[in-house]
Amino acid sequence: MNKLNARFAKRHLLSIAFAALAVIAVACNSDATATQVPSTTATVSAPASTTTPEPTANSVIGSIPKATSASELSTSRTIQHTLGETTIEGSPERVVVLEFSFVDALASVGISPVGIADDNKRGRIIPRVAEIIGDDWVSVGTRAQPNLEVILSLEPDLIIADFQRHSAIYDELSELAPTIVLKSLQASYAETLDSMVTIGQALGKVELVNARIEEHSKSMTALAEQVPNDENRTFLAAVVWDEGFNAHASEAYTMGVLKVLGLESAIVQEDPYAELNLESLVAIDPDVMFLMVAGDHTLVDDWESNPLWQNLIAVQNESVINMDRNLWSRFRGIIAAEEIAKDTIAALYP
Amino acid sequence: MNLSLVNNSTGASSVRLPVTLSVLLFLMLVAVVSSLSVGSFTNINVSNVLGFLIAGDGSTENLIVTSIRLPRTIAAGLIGGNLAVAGVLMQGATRNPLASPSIFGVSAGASLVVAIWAAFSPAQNGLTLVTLAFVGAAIGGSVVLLAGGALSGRSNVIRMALAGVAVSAVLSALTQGIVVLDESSADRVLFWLAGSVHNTDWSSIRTLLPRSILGVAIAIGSAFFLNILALGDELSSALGRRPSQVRIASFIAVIILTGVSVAIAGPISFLGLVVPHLARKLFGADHRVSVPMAFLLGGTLMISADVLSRFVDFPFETPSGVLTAIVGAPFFLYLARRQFSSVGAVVFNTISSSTLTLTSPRKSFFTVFPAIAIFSLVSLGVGAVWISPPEILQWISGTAEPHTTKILYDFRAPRIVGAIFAGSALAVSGVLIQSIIRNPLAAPEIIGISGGAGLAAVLLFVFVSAVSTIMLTSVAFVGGATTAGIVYLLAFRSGVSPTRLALVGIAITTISASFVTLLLAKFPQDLNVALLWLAGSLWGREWGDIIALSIVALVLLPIAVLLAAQLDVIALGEHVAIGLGIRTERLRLITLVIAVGLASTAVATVGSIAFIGLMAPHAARLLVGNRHILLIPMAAGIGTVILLIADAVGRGLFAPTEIPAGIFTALVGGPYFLFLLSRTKD
Repeated sequence: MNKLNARFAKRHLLSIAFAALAVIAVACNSDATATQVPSTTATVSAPASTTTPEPTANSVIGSIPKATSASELSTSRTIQHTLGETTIEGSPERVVVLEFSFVDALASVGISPVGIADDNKRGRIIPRVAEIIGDDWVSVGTRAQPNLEVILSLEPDLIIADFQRHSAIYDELSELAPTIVLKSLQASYAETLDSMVTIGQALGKVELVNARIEEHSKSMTALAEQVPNDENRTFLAAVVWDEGFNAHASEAYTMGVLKVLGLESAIVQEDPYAELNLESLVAIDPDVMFLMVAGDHTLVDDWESNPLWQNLIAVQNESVINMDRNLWSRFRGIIAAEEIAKDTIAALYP
Repeated sequence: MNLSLVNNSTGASSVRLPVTLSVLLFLMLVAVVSSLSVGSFTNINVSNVLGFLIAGDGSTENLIVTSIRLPRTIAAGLIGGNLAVAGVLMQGATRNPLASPSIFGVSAGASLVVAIWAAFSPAQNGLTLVTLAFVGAAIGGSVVLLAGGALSGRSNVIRMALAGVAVSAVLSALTQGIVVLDESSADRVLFWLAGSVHNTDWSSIRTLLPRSILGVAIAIGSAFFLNILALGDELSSALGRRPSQVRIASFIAVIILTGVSVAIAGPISFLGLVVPHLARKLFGADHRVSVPMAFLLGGTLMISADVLSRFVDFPFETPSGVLTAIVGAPFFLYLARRQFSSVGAVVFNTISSSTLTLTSPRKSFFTVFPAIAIFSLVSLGVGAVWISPPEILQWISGTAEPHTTKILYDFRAPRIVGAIFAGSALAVSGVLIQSIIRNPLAAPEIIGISGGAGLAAVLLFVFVSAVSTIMLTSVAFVGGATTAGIVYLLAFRSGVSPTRLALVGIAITTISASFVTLLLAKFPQDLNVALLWLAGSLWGREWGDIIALSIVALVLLPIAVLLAAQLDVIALGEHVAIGLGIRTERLRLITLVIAVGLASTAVATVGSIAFIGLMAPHAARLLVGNRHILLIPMAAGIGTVILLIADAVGRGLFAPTEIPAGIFTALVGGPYFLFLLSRTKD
């Protein structure tokens, strides 16, 4: 029963979470300066746009590589990623991304990818990201089978691929453009931030990215400050549908974001997901539930007539909150994290 | 074809009945009580459980017992009972000891419908998931039963089992395809696919109970007639009972019982196969006794499986299908091996599709081989970037633009060459396996190659997070070849009877498929990539990926042609072949090794692309007849054409989205297979 007693486990202090975040940021910084010795471009561009990227920021950033294209050799650098090293020259402008979290990473520094593996469902790009990247990009097919021909025809100068899905086609992608492979599909919140730093190096925009991460951690801190110090409730996020209740545990991306806010996961275990029924839910009895609803009719609709459901602490306190499934369960990245955090704070402390 | 399932211990059972029944009831009581007491919330002691049942005190423990564990236990009991009775009816009506819902397409039909539902989440249309799963189960089951010739009584064990495996293969290829194409929506069905009662409540019981009563009532009502049917169709007709009426009544009951069970709990594997055998063993072959006893036995087993499944990943839920599969799979294998050991090898009028060919063989060759060239050229042009024939000609003459050259040479040409070798390898493997098993419905899938390769690949994806193509290809090859070897060894009993080889192959294939389903349920996050491979696709294959396939095909295909004359002789029958001085056992082994080598390499390279190994040999027989010297090259040609088309269509139809080629081969091959099945005679 230990797994379930998370709510009685010691509380993760806000400060600890942020110390961790700071360590990551610092570590990445040192990384960046080490690998990117002759970097001139990024430092120039950095001060220009550390605030919320607006459409105009695009043109600012876009104009930089042209100015430095003469000195490409001096900006050649080696990027470390999960499948080894890739040499990148200049500041890539035409980027193709094969997972949603990478779209988020580009958008967070105001860059629009030229191609996205979007599963042919443009609507899956969350609104705040869609606003930044505009509509001037091409679908390169599904994340599972991105279309190499379309990628080629886009003439990319950087491809960002997922470790789990695209390792098998790394060689082919590398022939099309310098390719970096990072964890996305199974990435935790901390790993998403790590990837962000690597992407910054690849883009030749280390300073800009670091500034954005700093800004991100500031806005997360600001949101976290809205969480009262005596907040000791436990939280559970779950995808619910007609035949199942799939809970996100402590290692899932979503719960990683909530943890930074100082909110404690109701299920603490290594496996990021757990399939629950009403009985195990009663046993866990989280204080707050965020539900990502799929379909018109879900298991929860059936449970509502059961006194056990009615007696759950979250139900009693009217703390069962429906959240956007697309944002909460598909999209990862720092903009997504900020949105999830905002949704959470808005729902919890109106 | 009376398969000796009826004459197990009929005499003694009537004396033993009261004793056995009391033991069974006692076990059931133990299972029920543990199911009520044990669970993730807290273990509740027995006296309290009884107290809650008699007079509730409104406590949480009380509510857990009465509103969760009690309906869950009743649902498990009813579902286990239903599946067991359905198994008894299927086995009785088809006189086929391997008949059961999970083998005969019922579960796969329901799974597909649920996957479609999850992917497209239809808006309010009045259809609940339960209704849809019911419809899917009914369609899947009916197709297998009809195609297997169940109503006409023409069925035999192999025919029916082949129909079941084929239909399940089509349906699960489509299910996997849907999950691949819309993974974020459809992957939540993976847990459901493994089968579990953990989310049943009183509303499930309201759905379940009336249909169970109806189904079991029909079963009990037809029990007497099934006893008569067991004596054979002729005798049954003579006694004034039309066999087809009895069969129709039984199948209606089967569809009701399994449809509602699958709709509530998902597909529970093997229960419907194992329990009827157990019931006959314990209570004799009289259906009037074995139907109700199988119900009790099935209920008890299902409740026990459900209780045990709560401990697998305590306190979280694990599909109970895991446990029924672990118990049921070896039993299935045992049954498959035991068949025909007493009856002896059944000689099939194999290669039945006539010696008459449609056109002259020469004409056929002049049609098919130019077709390969044409389709290859057309396929080169098809894709997200459309390339016109003049541009292709420019490329051939070396004057195309660099982009066009790269697309044609680096992306499309390797896929086309891969399709040619994989299509030929699968098709020729099919010819060889059909001639060894002497059954026109055999194929590489049937002797476990695809199943074994699939299971190996899925295990690799579970243990390794980033799988390279070389790793995948080698592991899948080893998995496919090893499994075929295991099938051969298990089927060996002073020689390999073709029938036993097919049955053991079917058993292993079914077992692999159910373990793949369980792994997908337990590790959905790790297996997104594996699903793509399971569906079968040439996406992303580059020259380096197809080297091994090309070498194996270029070496083994000529050897297959060299064996042609001996294969012709063996087709005339075992005795003729031995009479002509052919060492049949050795020839079978060599042929099997070549067939396995070809198919394993092809499957390892392009994934489990279904039905080419079955379709191509048949089409080839129609065109050039049964002489292997013509048959082998023609089958290779047709296999190539099928895969070339499937690949080009998958690439071009919804570009830039790719549809796995395996989905198309399944869509074309499944119906073709059923057509063949309906035309073959026993």
